[in-house]
Amino acid sequence: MEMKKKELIRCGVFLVLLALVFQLLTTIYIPKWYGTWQSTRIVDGFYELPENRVDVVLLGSSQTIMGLSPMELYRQCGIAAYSFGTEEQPLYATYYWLREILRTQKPSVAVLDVNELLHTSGEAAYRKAFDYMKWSRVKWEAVKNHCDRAEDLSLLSYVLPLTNYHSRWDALEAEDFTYLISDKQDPCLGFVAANGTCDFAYAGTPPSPDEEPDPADEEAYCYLLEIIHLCEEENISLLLIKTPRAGWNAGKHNLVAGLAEEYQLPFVDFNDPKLMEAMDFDYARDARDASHLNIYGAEKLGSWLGNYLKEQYDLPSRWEDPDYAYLKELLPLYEMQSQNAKLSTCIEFTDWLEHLEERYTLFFAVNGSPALKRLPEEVLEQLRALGMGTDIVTSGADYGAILQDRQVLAWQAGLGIPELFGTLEDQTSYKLSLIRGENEESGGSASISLANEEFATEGEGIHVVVYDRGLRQVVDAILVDAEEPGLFVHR
Amino acid sequence: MALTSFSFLCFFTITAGIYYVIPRRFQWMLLLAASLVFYYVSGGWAVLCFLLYGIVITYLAGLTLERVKEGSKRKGLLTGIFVILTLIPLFLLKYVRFFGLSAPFGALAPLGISFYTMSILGYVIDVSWGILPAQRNPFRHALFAAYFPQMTSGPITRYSQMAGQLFAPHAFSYEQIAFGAQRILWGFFKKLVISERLAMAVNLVYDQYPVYQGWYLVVATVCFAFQLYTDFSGCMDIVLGVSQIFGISLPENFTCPYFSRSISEYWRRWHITLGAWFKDYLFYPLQKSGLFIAYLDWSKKRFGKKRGKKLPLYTGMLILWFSVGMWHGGSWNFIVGSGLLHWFYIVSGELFTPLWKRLIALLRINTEVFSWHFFQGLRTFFLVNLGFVFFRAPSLRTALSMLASMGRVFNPRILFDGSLCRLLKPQDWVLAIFSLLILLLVSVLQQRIRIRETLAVQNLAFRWSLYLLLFAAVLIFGCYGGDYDAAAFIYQRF
Repeated sequence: MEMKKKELIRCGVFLVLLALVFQLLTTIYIPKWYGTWQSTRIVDGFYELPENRVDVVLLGSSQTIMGLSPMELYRQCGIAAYSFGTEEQPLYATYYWLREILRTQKPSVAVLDVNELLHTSGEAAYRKAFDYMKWSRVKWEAVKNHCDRAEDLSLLSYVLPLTNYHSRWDALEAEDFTYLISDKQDPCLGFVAANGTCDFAYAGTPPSPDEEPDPADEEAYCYLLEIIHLCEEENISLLLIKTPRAGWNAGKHNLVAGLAEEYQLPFVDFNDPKLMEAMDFDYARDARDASHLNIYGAEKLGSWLGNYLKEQYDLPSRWEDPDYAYLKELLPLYEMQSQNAKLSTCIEFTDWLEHLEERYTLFFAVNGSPALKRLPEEVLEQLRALGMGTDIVTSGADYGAILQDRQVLAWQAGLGIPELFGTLEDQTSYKLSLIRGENEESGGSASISLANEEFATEGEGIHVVVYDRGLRQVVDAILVDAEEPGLFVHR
Repeated sequence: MALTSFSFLCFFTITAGIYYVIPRRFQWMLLLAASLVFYYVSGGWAVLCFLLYGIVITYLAGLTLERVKEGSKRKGLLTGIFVILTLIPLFLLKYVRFFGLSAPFGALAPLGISFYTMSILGYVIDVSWGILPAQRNPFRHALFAAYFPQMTSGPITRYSQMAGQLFAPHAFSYEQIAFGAQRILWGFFKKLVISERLAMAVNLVYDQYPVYQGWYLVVATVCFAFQLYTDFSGCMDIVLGVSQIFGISLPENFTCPYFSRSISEYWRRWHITLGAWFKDYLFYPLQKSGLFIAYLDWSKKRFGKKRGKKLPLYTGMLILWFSVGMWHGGSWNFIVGSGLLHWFYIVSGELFTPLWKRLIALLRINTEVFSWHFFQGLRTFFLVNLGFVFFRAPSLRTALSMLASMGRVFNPRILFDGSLCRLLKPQDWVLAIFSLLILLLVSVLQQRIRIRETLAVQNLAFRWSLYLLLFAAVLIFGCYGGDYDAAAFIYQRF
């Protein structure tokens, strides 16, 4: 009997080990969507929030991710919010995510960007929405109903994601292994501070009430109604919005406006030219592409929306509320992200130099050229302010330097192949070198690597890599061609 | 329900759990119920009916034949009738098209019909020969016929092997559970990591062989040899492991067949139970039959004593190998690839034996050394692979065309210039080769030691680390489930 008990315990322990191995592999193999859209971070960040500390939820897809900044709402108006978009998030998923949010939060307002009302999303969008959702009745219902709709959808792959992602074994990256121990808190509360600008000269979509409404996606329409009903049941005020988008048109507007009227919901269309003018919104400057805003656009939208929400919904300010102290703690981190995004949005060198922060460590690698002698005084002044020895820069020689706190940490100048290497205070290794071309035509180049990862932009000129010591990451890598009029920044 | 499916794992786990909780005298009933449920879930009512038909016919056959006088003509006739009745479903479902008739049941292919038909047919013949008493309990007979672990891929069992185990009570044994689980895990490794991976390359070449000619076909055929072996033997490992967990030992079906040094040895190591069944129930009875005895007499008179003995033997073997080929599939490529070609190998090997012996003596070849044994192994592997071309090809004509291509198109450079990466990604090739090396190591060890027993006495940490590593390897490197396509996740809508 004793033997049997021992054997049973051994069996049990082994099965537990098997389960642990399985779970560990699952955690490693699920893709970490930390790229441009940060879907994983957004979901994980939500679960790090303290309970019942969100007054406003921002719902939608990638346009919400980059267009609606909860920290802007807090910074400007003291509103406690969380932005809940994932890439191409179908309204089906938004509905279930709202139910999931309501398990731990009690928002009084839900702001929904209606972009997905007009689109059919692929399976990848559902996976990004659901893979990181914690298991509960909500998730079970969401994935079960989703998989019941098509024979080729595998419920098992949602229940045991490893069966879907195990073939990633040859594409694993460092973040797959460090995910388990990484900090899941999101200082931007579901927002991605986007950089970049676009060439679209989009001045908005003037109202055209006679325009035939565009057709809605059937599933999306159905689940928008579910969201509306859920908000009614939970006593949540639902606000429909549309962030500025170059692809918007009157037909789409009229679809949403009609629906809003039918269900007596407010609808704020930021594509309205009057509204864009009121926000001083310039699409070419404030958007990164045809659909998504950059940090400047998000700040403007956040400012307008924050005031609107305060006026319309009488939301309390949480600046001095000790229960919402977490927002105050996250604000500096958000501001750093915001500054980094603004830096990497600059397109002119002088503007770029203006946006450099004290906490940056700058790695300069300058390919010597006669054009350096003709750099504007304004630029030289800015470089001197950073601690750069501009006499050397304008001498036309190859030059490498590492600047921090307005001082030169290390430098090397002269013909040949200057090479600098070492370790920063936070143990990040760096290596900087310049190569002069074999002849005039082949041109020089540079190599700037941190922690064995190469960052220098290809080409000849002034290479700069910016390392943010606060966030411990490279935030920008540029090349300025001294011979190009206008001194534009290339990435 | 595939053996490597999640649903089978759940089904088996639940069955095994209940098996050791219920009173032992009900265990065989649980296995019967589980077997019928398994069959129904796998194929539905229609295919279950075929199984039930086979069970009923052979049950009645046993009872009837036991009562008939031994050696009487009536017994022979009745045995023949029952054999035909038992074979009818198999004929209608698998072989009717071979004889140019239309298939009455369309594309219906009941799970494992080729396997269980052989088992229950063997039972009928054993009872007819007086080797076994008939099973009077219809439910016990049903369990023998329908025992679910062996339904999908065999092995082909004999009633005498199974009866004592199937109906006996089985106490919980940690060792049996552990050994069974280890065997299942090893089977999964062979099937999912090796077989399914190689299948990707094989299918690509064989399905598009006009594009992939010459040495592509050579490579694909060799890959197929390992794909088939790891698939079939992997399934056997799972089947035997599952059965061991129930406390029931099934006969081995593979003992490192690619270590064989002759075709005869190969068939003593490959699909052992099939070869044994045809030998015991077809070949030997045929050789001892009145017809063949008369044939032998005539042959001896015609060709002399020595040569005369060979003709009926070779004729019997021809019938045997034709049947083996037919069993694999009702088309000529199977009959040739798994049957007649091997008959040709064995017969020509025997006929040319004096010549080989003289050649070996002339060249002073030492036949007791590793190099000679290695050559024999390679030669056997080559001959088997020729058969696999027929086995894998969709038709006889295509197989011949492929063989012609292998001889005509000389492009061994594909082995070195990266062309093979068209068949599999480099990582998959590395993984496949590495896994095959592990398989080779284990196979070599199996010839010398009993691996599971040897592992069982090692330290706990070592054993468990090995098992968990194998488990992780199957999970990560196994080809199953969805295939993650990173490109599909790239957000492209702007």
